[in-house]
Amino acid sequence: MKADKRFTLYRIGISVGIALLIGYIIVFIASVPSTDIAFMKKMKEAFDSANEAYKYFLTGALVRWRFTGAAFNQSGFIQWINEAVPIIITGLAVSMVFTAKQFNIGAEGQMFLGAAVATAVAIYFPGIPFISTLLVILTAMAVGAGFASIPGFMKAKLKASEMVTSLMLNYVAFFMGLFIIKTFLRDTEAGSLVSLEFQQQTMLPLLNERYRWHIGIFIALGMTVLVWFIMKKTTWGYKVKLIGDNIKFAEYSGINSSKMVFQVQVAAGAVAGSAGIIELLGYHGRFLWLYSPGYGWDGIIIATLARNNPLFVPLAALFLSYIRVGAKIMGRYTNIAPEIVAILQAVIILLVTAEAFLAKWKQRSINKEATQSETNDTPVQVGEVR
Amino acid sequence: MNEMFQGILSWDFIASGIRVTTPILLAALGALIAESAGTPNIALEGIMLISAFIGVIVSGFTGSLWLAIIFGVIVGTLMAAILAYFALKLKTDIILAAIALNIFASGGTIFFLAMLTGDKGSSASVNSLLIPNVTIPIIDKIPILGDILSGHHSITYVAIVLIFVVQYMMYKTPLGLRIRAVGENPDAAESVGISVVKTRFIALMLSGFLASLGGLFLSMGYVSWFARDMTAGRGWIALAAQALGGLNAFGVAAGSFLFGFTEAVSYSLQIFDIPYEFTQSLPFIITIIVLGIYAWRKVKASGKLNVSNSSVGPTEK
Amino acid sequence: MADNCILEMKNIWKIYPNGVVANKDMNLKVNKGEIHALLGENGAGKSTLMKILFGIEQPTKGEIIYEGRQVDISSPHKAIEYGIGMVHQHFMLVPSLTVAENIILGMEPKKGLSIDIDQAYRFVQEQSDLFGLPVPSKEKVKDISVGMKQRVEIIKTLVRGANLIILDEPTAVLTPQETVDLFNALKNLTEKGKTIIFITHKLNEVKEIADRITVTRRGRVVGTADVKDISEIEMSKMMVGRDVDIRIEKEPAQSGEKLMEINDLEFTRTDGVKSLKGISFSLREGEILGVAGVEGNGQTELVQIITGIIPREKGRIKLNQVELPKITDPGFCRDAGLSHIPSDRMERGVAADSTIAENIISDRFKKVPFSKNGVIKWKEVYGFGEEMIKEFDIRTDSARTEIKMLSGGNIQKVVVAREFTAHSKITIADQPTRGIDVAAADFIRRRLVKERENNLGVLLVSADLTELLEVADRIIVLFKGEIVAHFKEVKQINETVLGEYMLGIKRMSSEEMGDL
Ligand SMILES: Nc1ncnc2c1ncn2[C@@H]1O[C@H](COP(=O)(O)OP(=O)(O)O)[C@@H](O)[C@H]1O
Ligand SMILES: [Mg+2]
Repeated sequence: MKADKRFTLYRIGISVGIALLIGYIIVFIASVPSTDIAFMKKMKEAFDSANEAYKYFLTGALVRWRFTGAAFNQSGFIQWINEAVPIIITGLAVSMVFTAKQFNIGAEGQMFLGAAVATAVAIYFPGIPFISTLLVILTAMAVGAGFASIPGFMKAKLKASEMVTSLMLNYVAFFMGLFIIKTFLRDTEAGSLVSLEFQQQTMLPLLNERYRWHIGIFIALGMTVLVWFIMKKTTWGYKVKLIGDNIKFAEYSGINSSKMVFQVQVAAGAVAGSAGIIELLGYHGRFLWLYSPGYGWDGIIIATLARNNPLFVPLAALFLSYIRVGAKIMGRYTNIAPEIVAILQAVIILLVTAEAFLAKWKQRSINKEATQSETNDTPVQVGEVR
Repeated sequence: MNEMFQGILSWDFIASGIRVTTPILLAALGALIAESAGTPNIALEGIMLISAFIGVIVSGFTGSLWLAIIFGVIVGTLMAAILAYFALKLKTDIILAAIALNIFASGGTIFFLAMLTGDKGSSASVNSLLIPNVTIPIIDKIPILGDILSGHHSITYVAIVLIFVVQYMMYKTPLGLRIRAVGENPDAAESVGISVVKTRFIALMLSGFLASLGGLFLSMGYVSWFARDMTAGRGWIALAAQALGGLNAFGVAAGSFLFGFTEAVSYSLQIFDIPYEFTQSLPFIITIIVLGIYAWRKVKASGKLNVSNSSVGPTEK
Repeated sequence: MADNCILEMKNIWKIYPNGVVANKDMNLKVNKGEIHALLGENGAGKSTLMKILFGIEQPTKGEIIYEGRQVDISSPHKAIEYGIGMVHQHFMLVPSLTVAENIILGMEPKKGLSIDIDQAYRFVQEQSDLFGLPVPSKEKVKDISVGMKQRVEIIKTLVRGANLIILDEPTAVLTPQETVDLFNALKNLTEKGKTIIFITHKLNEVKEIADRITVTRRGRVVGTADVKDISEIEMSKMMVGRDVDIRIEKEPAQSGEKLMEINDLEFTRTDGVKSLKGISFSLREGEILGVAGVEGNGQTELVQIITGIIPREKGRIKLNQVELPKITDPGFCRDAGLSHIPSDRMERGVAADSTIAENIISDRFKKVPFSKNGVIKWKEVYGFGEEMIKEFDIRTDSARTEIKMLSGGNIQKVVVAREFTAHSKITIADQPTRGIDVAAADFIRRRLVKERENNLGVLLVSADLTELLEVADRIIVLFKGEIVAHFKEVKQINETVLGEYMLGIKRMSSEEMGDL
């Protein structure tokens, strides 16, 4: 049945369209000037400035608008790619647990704490290109995996809801991460709460010095291929899919479901653990988050948009980071706060996952398919044998 | 050590525990109703946040306490209605839909805060109002008892009354019977002409209503401003409290008080030399531990083997 | 005659979202005050047609005329308003509520804001007296028997003023004795002016109780007739579309070594009921051992314990000379040489969103040729899937089809394909033909007999007594967690005899039972 896939695509397209439309309406309302002028004039001004804002929003990541015309926006482009990196990784992690129908939404904490602990290695371990970098990333992954093992264990052995525990742990990870940075790794000379700088040699190689385009995107794409292979080609991935599809069936088939529930959460935790530190290694060169950056939550959106298929994760992440960068650029030129993206994201998730959205339309095409094949169905004859 | 016990055992501490419990309790009662209907509401966190925001903004811009309360409650309930609409009508996965609403609440409140006040961190510049405390005459004068029972925020009293109201509603009224029936066997309810969608809609909206009261309490009682992500996980803790208390309002209240008092303990610990990050994480850690112990006892009691509930229960499926 | 017609369903089509065409231009006419039997194989679309009448499903096309008016039944609520009631194939009761609460649900008597529970009890008492259907109104539904549950369901429709009552396969879960009670109650109701639509695929029941029949086959109506004008043979021809000769030929059993030994098995359910009270029996090579019993008398527990799904409380199990450890899992049992056709295929037998091939390899994906070094060889997997589709006659276009796109009979064939190609010595078949069409059921029964002829052992748990009597070599009867009868010679007994033991009216002494 092709109708299924086709309608998923339509649904995603239409959802994005509706989200952008809602965003436009909000921008429009925000752009209505408060000055005391005629209503029509007000509307006109709002319309103009909303259009202007949306122009930045939709194209800002690629186009630099000058008085003389449009030019390629190199910094925007690089920002777009760079910002996609951590959320590709969390998207992969979330798609793994979601495939197993484990609602472990602890990627945020795993990412944050992983970055905080690995920061220590990045500061103090001698900078040896590749080796120290790898070590830092592996540390972050180990921390992510270790942290994810708590809800994993509690679900597998105690049947405690992994959703609630992983969420609680996000807060714990946040406070613990901050504590580590503040107490052990703080750069006391800096004005704000940031860590000491990483070893120069440990940082990721750059493709572009000026805007700091780092090779994180290749790491993320490499991880995509790896996760894809594991999930789609190995017996382990098959088991994960099976426990997600019907866990009782998996058990009945002889699969140790508790073990898989634990393993998939830990494996996803390892992936998620590396998301934050890669960005720090590539871009910032030190730990500087005072708020949890939200990449774990983005991972949920991305996995949902990608329908948990690892190969679609980079596409979804690039889409998200595109509108994010656009929103930031819009925020620079107008007074529209970039957090508007959160509203768009919510609308997109709601509609993309709405099974019954467009269902009538879909049913109509199914009816057509079914009635067509019906006419070929020769009526059963008396005396006919199977 | 001695000091610490003094801190914890003081009557002030109990009063503070009750205060901290209020928003958790309200949201947890909401979680109970939603859970009974078979539609867990994990958007409580976001609903509280939005209501907290609306309360501050409306009271700040209109100067009317009543308008603030009314709008706070309406918008919170509306959020739950949106969740219900997507989950029940459009068949969105209820957990993903709720996550979307939480994302919306977290980012949306910041967006609108910035749009309306120019500040992204808090509503400090808005002159918002407080919902008053209530002094109970006579009792107020009794030493100790007066400290504990009197002088609380009005919403705290409302919350306490709501424990009984929710319990009564769930187990004595037609609506409660229907909600429970819909939660346990939706087909059975449907077969006697009860609309499952409608009943769940009502249950979710009631849960949104309760959570919105919790949100209003946060920004118009607990403190007098709105700050980004100020719910700080209380919606989730409420879910944990519900999980602990089951489908009984008194049990849920007990769970809420447990977590509320843990939080209060973490505040009293702040006067000592314990790093703030530790005291801040304490409620979450305790929640996890309690959930773990509770789950462990349940597993032990039922002797179940696997992650899926392959137990053989009563014959009816 | 025409003005006597209470219901007419015209040109009803129903296409489910998964593309299954369940009703193809169906027509049904029911007269006032009659018992109208709707006859047809499993999967013919009977339940779907009735769900449309009761407002649970909406027709894709077609119209309904009830009491002379064209009606639009958009929900069960509407149907109830029109005076239509339905007793479903699967009971629609809330287990943790009392009988009275279940009955008054949605029409609760009130005192102030509260439910007037005393009034509710009185009301239920009154109504059950009125219709001669006594029920224990204060007991929880989960604690009452299947026959009683059905009675509660019937009262539920009556107190809502139903004039037309639909009963969807009401006798499927009843013992012969309970069926007699039900039929008396139904005759009583028609005397009170009620109209009844009675779904079944059992021909003798039709003869006994119905006035007229409508026969359905593969989503179409084949015809309508007066029962007195038509013989059972004719009915079955209409129903199946061919001469029915599905007697399975089999040689007498050549039982050999003991394959499975069960010793003193005990189990207590989470609600405290002791559902297995020291069960012992063995299964030998080359035999089919049937297990009869009213649902809920320990069969589920027995099967789940043997297959490692739940842990036993006490007792020993030996599979192929391997002693099962106390804490075990289905994987261990499979390795010990056990196959299992579960009673609920959708719950445990398949993964609905996975493909046919993925479902067939679920127990052997680690083995050559399906994987090597932890990497799955999808080409081999799908190749094998296609082979199975041919061998087991699964009606679909490819092994890449998702299970949820298949009909019940074909899904069951996927389960069977996996379990019968696992090369196990023992097969536990739990309700293997429930809810599937006659052809598929026949196919599966023949495969079971073939297993036995290959000197393997089969434990067949079935609520279908005809099936047990036809396929099994020996039968044991479970009643309240105990074995109360053992028939070594199945040929000499009939359904009524089994029924008496199943209801606990009779029980054999251990001498009578002999060597289990
Ligand atoms: N909810 C559903 N979704 C999809 N297909 C269904 C559904 N219910 C029934 N079917 C399919 O419709 C056909 C007719 O089923 P049903 O009406 O239950 O038959 P009967 O009651 O005569 O045994 C079967 O092929 C069945 O698999
Ligand atoms: Mg049926």
